[in-house]
Amino acid sequence: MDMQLKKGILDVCVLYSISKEESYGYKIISDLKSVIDISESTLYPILKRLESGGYLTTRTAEYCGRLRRYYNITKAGCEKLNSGKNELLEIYAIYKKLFGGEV
Amino acid sequence: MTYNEWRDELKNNLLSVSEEERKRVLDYYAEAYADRRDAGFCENDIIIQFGAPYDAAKRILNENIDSSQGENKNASSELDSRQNLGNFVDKPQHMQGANAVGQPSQQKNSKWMVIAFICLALLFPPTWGVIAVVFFVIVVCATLPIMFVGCGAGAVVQSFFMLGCGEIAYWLCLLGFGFIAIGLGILLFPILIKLVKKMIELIKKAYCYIAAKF
Repeated sequence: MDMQLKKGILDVCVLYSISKEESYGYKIISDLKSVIDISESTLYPILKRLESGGYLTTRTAEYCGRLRRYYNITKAGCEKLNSGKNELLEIYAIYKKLFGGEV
Repeated sequence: MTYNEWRDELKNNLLSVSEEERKRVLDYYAEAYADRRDAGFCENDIIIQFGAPYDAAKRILNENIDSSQGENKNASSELDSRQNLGNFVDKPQHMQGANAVGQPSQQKNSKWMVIAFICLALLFPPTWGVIAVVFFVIVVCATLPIMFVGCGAGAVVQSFFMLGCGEIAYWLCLLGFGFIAIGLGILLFPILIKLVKKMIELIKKAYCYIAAKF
């Protein structure tokens, strides 16, 4: 898949995973495992970019004697998720017009 | 490759980012490692899932370039240079993955680059000074604890001769000094080993930095 396209789709996927409930790195990867190929090395830059863009917030809490960073979606993140969903729909509509029912 | 080795390699590839960012990345991977261990994965599987440290570092550096619009534009090329000079060569076969598939000739070239760099480094006069200092420090570090322990043991043995002569005060003094010297010698040993390791690591970093500049 084209990197730029995948980057945009991954942003939507990560935001979607966090929008359901507060989440953490490994849980996000586990949630998305059946949807898209994503690893820790791919996830870190996405989380950082989304955080610096104000689309999610983080907090660190203790879990089983160690620290774990939790991610929460912000209002701006919800808006970005909605616009991402619409873009995916647009891509899907183009695909359908081009190829019909072909997979 | 163990997780600690993977983490150290990642750390070495992230020298151009701020210390705060580096710590954050390492914390992120420590958390991911612990979570995967809790989920039942073994160390080797986790390392494979994490991918090559070089790739992980490159993704982070590329993201920094994107977000800072060129502020850190030399970072990725610096990583490439440093990678060519050592880290890629050290990477075990199973860790090379897509990186190795995409760059087989680069792997061969990197070995020659390491050899060329070592030859160039030997022609660089300060290198001989560095080698002399390292040699001197290693000799001192090996000798010092042995001297302390040897003198201490000698004092303890001699103290018993003093006891035989009825010199109780001398015996106690010598015995005390002897044990203090032995203790110091034993304590010094791990500290000096750590010091030598740190010094070699610093020299390695300095040469990687110089290599990256070219």
